[in-house]
Amino acid sequence: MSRDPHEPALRETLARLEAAGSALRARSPEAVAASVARAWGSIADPELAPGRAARQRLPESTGLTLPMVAWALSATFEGLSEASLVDAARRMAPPEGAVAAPAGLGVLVLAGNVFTACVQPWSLGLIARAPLLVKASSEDDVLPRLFAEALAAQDPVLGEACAVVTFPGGTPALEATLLSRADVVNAYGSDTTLASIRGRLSPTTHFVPHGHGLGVGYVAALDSRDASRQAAEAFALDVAAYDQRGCMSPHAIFVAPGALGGAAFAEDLAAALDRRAEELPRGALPVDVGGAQLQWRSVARVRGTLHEGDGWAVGYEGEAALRVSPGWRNVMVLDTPDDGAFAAALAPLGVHLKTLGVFGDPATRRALAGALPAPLAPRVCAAGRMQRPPLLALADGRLPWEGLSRWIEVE
Amino acid sequence: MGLAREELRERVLALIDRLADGRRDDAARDRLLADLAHFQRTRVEVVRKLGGGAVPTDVFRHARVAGHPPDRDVRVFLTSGTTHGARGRHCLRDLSLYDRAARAAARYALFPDVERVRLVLLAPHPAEAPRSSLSYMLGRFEDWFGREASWVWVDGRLDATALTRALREAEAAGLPVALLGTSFAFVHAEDALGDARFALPAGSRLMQTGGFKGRSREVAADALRAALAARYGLDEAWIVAEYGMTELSSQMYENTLRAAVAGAPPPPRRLWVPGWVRATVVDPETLRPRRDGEVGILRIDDPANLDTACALQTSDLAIAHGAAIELLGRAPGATPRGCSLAVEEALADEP
Repeated sequence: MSRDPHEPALRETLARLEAAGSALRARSPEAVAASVARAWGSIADPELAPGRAARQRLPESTGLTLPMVAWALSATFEGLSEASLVDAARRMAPPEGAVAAPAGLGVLVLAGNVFTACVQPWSLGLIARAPLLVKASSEDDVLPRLFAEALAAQDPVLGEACAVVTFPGGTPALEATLLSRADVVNAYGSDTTLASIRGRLSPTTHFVPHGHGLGVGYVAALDSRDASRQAAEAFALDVAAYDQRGCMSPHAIFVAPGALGGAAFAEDLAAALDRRAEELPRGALPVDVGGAQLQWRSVARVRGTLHEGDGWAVGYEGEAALRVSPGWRNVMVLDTPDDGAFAAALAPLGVHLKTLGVFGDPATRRALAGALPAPLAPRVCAAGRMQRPPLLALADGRLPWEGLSRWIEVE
Repeated sequence: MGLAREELRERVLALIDRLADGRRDDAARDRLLADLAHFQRTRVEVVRKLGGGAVPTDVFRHARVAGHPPDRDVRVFLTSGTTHGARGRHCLRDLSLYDRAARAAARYALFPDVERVRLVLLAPHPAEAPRSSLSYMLGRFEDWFGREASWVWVDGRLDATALTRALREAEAAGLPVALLGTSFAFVHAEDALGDARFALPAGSRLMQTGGFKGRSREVAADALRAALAARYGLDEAWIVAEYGMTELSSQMYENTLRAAVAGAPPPPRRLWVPGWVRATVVDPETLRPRRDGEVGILRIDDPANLDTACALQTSDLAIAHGAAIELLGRAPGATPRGCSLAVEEALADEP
C-alpha cells in the first residue's frame, strides 16, 4: 500500500486525540454534557455566529433548501438540552459498583445523506468520554466542522478530544491509518462501505455498523376523511424531511382496511405534500435521481394512479408489491388486507427496515412491533416523528452508546 | 383513418435501407416517428396510459408493452434482471425489423471493411439463451458476418481453453477475428487467461457490451479497454462498445473502429447513432432536450420497435455532441442518495 502524503498529519491527529483522552476522562459526564449542550446550542441558535454559518453553508453542501435545513436543525435540537444530555449520562452510567472505562479512541464515519446524523453518536461519544475522530463525508463536512469549532470555543478540553477529517473513499492508506488505532468504529454508509471497513478492523475493535435502510409507514383503519387528512399531514412531513434521503424516510405507506382505503389516503397525502412543498421546498434534483424518479413514477402511472406536483409524487398501486422509491419525495401508497400481510410485505426488508411510522394509537404500535418477523427490529414511532428520533433512540435496535465504554467491575 | 401496420412496417424497413450507409435524413425519420407514435398511442395500452410520451424501461418489468396479444409474439426477450427481482420483457411480433436494423448498424459500424470474418463469441449461444436479445443478435451475426464461429461461453461460464484455441488458430492462420461479447465475460476472460497474450492479425476487432451487474468484478471502461488491447494485441481504436438494450431493436456503436478503417485519426470516443434512430439527451424533470454538452438522461426513438414502443426513456446519463452521444452510465453513488440506495436489491419484486 503506498503512503499518502496526508498520512503523517492523520497519525499526528490520532496521537493528539489519544493524548487528550486523559483530560476528557477526568471530567464528569455531567460537565461534558453541559459543554456539549452549549456547543450544539450555538448552532441551533440562528442569531449566533455558528448558527448563522450553518444556515449559510448547509444549503449548498447538502443540496437541501434553506427552509429544509432550518427545519432539520430545529427538529434535531428541539430535544437536545443540557438536561437531556445529563439524563443520557445517567442512562449510560455503569451499574453500582462498576467503573466506566471509556474507549481510548472512537472513530465515527459519516455518510452524506442526512447532515444531522452526527449529532447523536458524537454527543453520546463525548458523554461516554471517548476521544473521537470524525470522518465526515467529502461532499458535506459543514456541520461536523462547525460543531468541532463550537466545541473548542465552549470547552477546550473537549475541543482537543475531537477532530474532523475528510477524504474521498478509495484512499486506502488514510483509511487504514484511520481505522488502525480505534477501539470502536461507528460507521454510516452503504453496505459496501461497511463491509470494507469491517474487513480492515482488528479483532479487538468494536464495530457498530449503520447500513442501508429505509422507513415504512402504516395507517390504521381510517374511519373518516378527517382522520385520513391527519394521517396525510403527519406522513407528508416524514416524506418531505431531508428530501426523503435518510434511512428513516418512508418509501411506502400501507393503509389498513377501513371506511377509507389507500386511494383516498393517497389523494390526501398528495394534497399534504403539496402544502409541505410550499413551506419546505425540495432541493434541486440530481440528474441521476431524476432518471430513477422518471422510471419509478411511470411504473406507478401504468400500474395504478400517480399524483404528482412540484417536487413530489404519490403513487397508489392497490395491493401491489412494495417498490422502493428513489427518494426525493416519491412515495408509494398501498392497501394491506390485514396485519399478517403487512408483516409479510416487510419481511424481505430484513435489517434494512430502520423505522416504522404508525398512524394509530400506542396499542397499535405495540401490536405491530410484536408481529414483525425476524430479523426486523425497526424503531416504531408515531407518524410525523419518523425523522425526529429522540436523543437516546435505539440505533438499529441497539443501545446508541454501544462500544463507547466498557465497565470495570470492582469486586 | 388509422395507419396501417403493414404500411408503417414497409416505411421503417425502407428508411433503414436508405440510411444504412450512414446518411442522415432527420426530417424523414421524424415524420416516421410521429406516425409511429400516433399508431402506438392507439394500439399500445401502456403508451396510451403514459400520454404518448416515451416509455421508461422499468415499465417493461411491470407491464406488457405491446400492441398485439401474447399469442402473436414470435419472440420474447428478457432483460438480465440481476439487480431487480422482475425482468423486463420485450415482446416481438416481427423479427424482420430487428434483423434489418441490427444488420445495418453492425455492417456500418462493426464490419465496414469485411464481408465475413471469424467470430469468437463470449456470450451464450441462442440455443442456450433463447430469451437473450444479445444472444439472438450474435447468432444472427454468425449468419450474416461469420466465416466460422466459436461460442466460448458455455453452460454459464467461460471456456477459456476454447477461447485460447480459437485465438491461437486465428494467429496461426493470419486471418482477422472478431471477439464479441459482454463486458463481464471479458473480465472473466481477463481473470482466466493469466499471463497469456495474443497478437491477433491485423483487422481483428473486439466488441463489448453491457455492464457488470454483479456478474464479475467492476472494471472502469478505460482500464478494461486498455487491458483488452494489451491482452489481444489490438489497437484501442479497434475495440468498440455496443449500446443495445433488450427493449430496443436498433443498436449504437462507438465510432472509433470505422474511423480506423478509414485511416482517420481517432475521434473522441462517442456512440454513433444510426440515421433511423433518434437519440435525445433530456432533462429528467421537464423531459425537454438538453443542449449539446449538458448532462441529461438518454431518450431513444427507435422506429424498428413497431409493435411495442418506439419511444424509450432510459436512466442512462449522457451528453449529446451533435448527432453523436457520449454515454456516462448510471453513475450509481455519484450522488449521496442515502442509505436506502441498494435496499431495492433486497426486495423480491413482482415477476
